[in-house]
Amino acid sequence: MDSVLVTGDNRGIGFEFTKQFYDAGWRVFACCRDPAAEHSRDLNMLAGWSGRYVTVHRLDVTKHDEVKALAERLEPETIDIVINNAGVNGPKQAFGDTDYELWANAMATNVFGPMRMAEAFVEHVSRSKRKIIATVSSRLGSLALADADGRHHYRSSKTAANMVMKNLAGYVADRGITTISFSPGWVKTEMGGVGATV
Amino acid sequence: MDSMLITGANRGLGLEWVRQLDAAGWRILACCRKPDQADELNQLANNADGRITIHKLDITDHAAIDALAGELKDEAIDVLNNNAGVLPDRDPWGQTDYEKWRRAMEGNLFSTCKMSEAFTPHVARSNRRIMITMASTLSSVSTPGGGPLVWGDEKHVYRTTKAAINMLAKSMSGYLKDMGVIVISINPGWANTEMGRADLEPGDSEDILLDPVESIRGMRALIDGLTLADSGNLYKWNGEELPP
Repeated sequence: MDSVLVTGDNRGIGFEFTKQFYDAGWRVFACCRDPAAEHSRDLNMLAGWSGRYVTVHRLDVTKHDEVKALAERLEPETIDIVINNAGVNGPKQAFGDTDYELWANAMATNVFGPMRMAEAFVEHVSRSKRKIIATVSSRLGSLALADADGRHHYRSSKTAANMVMKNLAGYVADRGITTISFSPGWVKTEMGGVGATV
Repeated sequence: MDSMLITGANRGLGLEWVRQLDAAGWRILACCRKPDQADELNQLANNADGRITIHKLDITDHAAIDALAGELKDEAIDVLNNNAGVLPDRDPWGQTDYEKWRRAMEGNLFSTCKMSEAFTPHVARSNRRIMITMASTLSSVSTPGGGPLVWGDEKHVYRTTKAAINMLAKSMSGYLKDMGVIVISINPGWANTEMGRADLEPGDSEDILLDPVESIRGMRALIDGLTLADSGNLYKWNGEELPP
């Protein structure tokens, strides 16, 4: 059976990944920071119906011990695709009034998170059939497309996330693992907000 | 008189910037963490008739940056040179030091942004109105860097800080365009400095490294020819375009 692990899974694009993979008959390891929270209700309901096809796992990708512990708990499993979907954006920031703590949080989740997940789950992916590690990036991370819109903290985190995935490709190529970054489009989710186009 | 504020002025490329601009008669505000140990910089300053002033600054200390900006509030700064940076140790695959990564982001990225924010007024009232950030041979997302360089060379920590700096420079170029401030990111080349030599592979000859004198000459020629239309661009030390 094909299997996928998705981070940031309780809402938005992450939850949609889970629904669609589940509908297609996949085994889904759905990870989110707070499974007990109200906004995780839909995910928990889906997991309940799914007859163990979808399982929910508590995971904060900024916490090294949590990532390591989950990787160990899932040690017998094979994971075809890891999708690093968990990400933070935060409000626009005026230049001259940058919130450096918020920026550090964006780096911890959006940049360090994918590397930490890859380091922890490389064996699970290595023994699968498809062998893919993917990170949800953003067109806002592209240097070729950059302009100024008050998101230097978010943009720089996504540029750096793309750099992580490029290096990761080099690290895991000999295991036959494919690594990619992709832009999901500007999606009508809580994070995407009003005005989203997809 | 043209003026530059430069961080990391006590050694390497920073010190070479000071040497060359001193010879060209510039006013130089030279920042470093430990002025009392910066012998060569002090010697230059002592022979510069007051054109070179030395300022103690740790660029990861945001309160200290604000304090220095306040202390220098009457100065016009033609070029803000965010030269200082850190080269973290390598991280073999599977053994990434995440705490070190956080500190590298603070030392290379957040520090550059904070300096630029604090000194925007000083630059905006100058003639040249230029800010430069330090890219790297290893900063491009589209290429691992040329030569024998490959993706996955245990330098992902450093690479991500420098890729992010290029995006920061792009964003800043937009924010500051209305003030007529030009922001560019420059890869100074892999230069024969203490930091550059630290990144040689065992057996590599120092001959493959760029002469710091050439690096700074190239960057000086580059900034001399800049216009506002160039703002947001990425360059190599010799004026060639740096891939994004």
